[in-house]
Amino acid sequence: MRSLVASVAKTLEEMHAQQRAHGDIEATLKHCLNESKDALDGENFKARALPTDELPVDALQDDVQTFVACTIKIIRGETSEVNASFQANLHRGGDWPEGFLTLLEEASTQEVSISDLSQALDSNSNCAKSAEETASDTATTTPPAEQIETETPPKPLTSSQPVVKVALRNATVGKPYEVEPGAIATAIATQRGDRPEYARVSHLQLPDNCGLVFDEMTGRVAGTPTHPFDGVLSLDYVPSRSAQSIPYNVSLLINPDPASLWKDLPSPTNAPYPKEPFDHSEETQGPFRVVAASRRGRSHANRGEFRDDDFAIGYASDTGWLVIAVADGAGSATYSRAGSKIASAAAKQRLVTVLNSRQHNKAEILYSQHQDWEHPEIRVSLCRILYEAALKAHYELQSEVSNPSDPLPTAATLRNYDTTLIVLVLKKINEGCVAATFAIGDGGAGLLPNPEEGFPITRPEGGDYAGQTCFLTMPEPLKDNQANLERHFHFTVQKEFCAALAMTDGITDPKFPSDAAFADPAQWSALWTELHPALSSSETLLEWMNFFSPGNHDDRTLVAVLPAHATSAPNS
Amino acid sequence: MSIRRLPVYLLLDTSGSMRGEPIQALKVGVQTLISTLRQDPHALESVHVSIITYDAKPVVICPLTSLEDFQMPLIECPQSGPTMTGAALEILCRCVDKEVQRTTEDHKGDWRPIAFLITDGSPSDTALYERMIEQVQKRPFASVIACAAGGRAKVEPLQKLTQHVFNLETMDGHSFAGLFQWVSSTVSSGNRSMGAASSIALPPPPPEIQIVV
Repeated sequence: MRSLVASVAKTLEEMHAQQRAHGDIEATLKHCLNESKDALDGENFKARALPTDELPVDALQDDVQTFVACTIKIIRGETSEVNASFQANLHRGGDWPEGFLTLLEEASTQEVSISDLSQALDSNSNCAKSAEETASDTATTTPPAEQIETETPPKPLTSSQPVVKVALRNATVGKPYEVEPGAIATAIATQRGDRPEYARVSHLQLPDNCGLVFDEMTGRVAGTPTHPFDGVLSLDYVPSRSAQSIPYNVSLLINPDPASLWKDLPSPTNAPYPKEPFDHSEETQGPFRVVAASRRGRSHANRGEFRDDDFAIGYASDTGWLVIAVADGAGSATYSRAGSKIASAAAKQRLVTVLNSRQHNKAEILYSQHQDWEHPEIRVSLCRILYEAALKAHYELQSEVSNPSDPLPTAATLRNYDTTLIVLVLKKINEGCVAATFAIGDGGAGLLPNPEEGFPITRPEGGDYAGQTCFLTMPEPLKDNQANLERHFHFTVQKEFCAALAMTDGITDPKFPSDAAFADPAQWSALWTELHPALSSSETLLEWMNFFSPGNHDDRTLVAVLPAHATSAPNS
Repeated sequence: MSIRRLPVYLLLDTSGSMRGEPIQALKVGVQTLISTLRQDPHALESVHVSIITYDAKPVVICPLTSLEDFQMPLIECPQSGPTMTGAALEILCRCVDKEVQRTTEDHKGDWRPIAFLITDGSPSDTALYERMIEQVQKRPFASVIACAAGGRAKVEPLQKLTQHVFNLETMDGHSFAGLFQWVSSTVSSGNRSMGAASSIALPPPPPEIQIVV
């Protein structure tokens, strides 16, 4: 049956190419089926058409559909109008190519060309063969699947060779790489059924100057790749000691070094809320020296996006309180760059005003009464002051939504301004300090009483999965209840003061790889040792912040607070 | 320090109707996806890919593998048979539970996983499929994206699974290349900070992909 259909399909294809008519396909097919065995071919079919008839082009697809529908009936045995002897023979030669029926069913619902069908019929074996021949043929032409390490596009091997597919383990530019001695020969031998102990590879053509070397004695590939590569390598395989070598191919992929792929694309020029990719500042305020820097992360530079981080520094000169705010706008929010800027500026402004006022700075009033910074009421009063500053920042974002300071193409929502916020206030007392923080979202702050030890003064606030955190724009972190305030507030009084650091997660993620590390005093000391020499100026800090850490390419912002007398020399 | 991975699960329909050009085009599409992502440094460092094929039986033909080490596995179609989409989702949930790392005291968690399901038909195991939809929704996916490929693919069952359902009219190389280019831009935007409950904002799809509302 297959031979008939294939033959008819071919004939149809030819006749369509010549735009020749061939009469009623269904009737012709049925006629062919009912004829004697010898007549079951395309010639018979062709003969029924009148040589002069021309077929309208728009009828071609209809013809194909008819042919398809008929053939489906034939394969399924649904053709009732054929004679008994044919019925008996119908499924005997059931050597249809695999999936041909499915292809036909597919073809009955959508456009398909007759050449697709005849190709499918010709696909994996000669259609004239008997079912038995076809079965044995299939067994020898299909390569064994289990040994194949991976599939590569079929290579033009000579037909006498079995198809051997071997892929070398992927390499990466800059990373040491090795394929163990004999491994390639063993892989090929196993697939071919040779004895691996005698097989060897006498030659492997590696790309020129790729950094990898093939050792012909041992069959080992080793080295550190220097260039990316994705392709096929030719090799000579020797199946046994006395045998001649046979050419084979193996595929190899050398990944580029991720560090080499980063692009530094400028931010858009006509978007609302433009922001410079870098910002830095250095100032002395009362007893403090403040060095701050903020830089656009590689992941943002790579996509030509804005820096979403921001920071603000203020000083209440009448009372000696320093105010720091750092904010990290969410990468997923459209105007988060504005969110971080507005929030940090608003919180800072509010804190400077309140802390500078002898009337409103409750902490100072309480201190003058109790003469003890560790008095519990002082802690409570600072918590309230900082919380209200965060609340003020939240409302500032709300009013930005209703009344944008930059014209926006469409109305924004509060969540378009998603940002974290860490506020830190510090006052120098004798040799030590009083410090309080209120933090919403990730990133964090820490205090080093001396260079040897430090501790966090914010709680880590990552979610169950990376990139999940809470934002100032959400209602939950701003709920005015004791439990919530305690979660976001931190207060400490220290007898010594070496440095305070406030950072976005672009710094805390690479420097503190886990919550346990964030709580570890040794890790803070290690960060200080690394960071301290970079604090000689805000430019050097900005430069240091360009450090490379795989997987950590977010915007980075760090504000360091030091005693004003501290020099930039490394610690003694 | 271990890198926070961005797990990407590809669920590919390999039922009999995908035989021939569709499966070839799909394979080329997956290759396109992989090589495009390899040009994105952030993806090259963080994306891990797993491929689950499903026909009469779902199979994890590629366990979660870094983009750096990924090699294209052999994808085959049986002659015919049912499309066990429900069973595929069951395997997906099991993989996610086992493989995706949550934040602990000593480890930062992975990025929330992304799943892409491509089918040219409709689930044969409807009861299991319905049950598994609930299970998938309990998992921490940043996004589940379903693609109905070809004229016979049913959109309605996919809409129960996710709000991101796309229609690919033809299953040729060009359409799949477009689809997977878009998938790669979706994956590339998967590793950035977002609110705890929100899902990623999808980039606009190319013209050959129709958004099913």
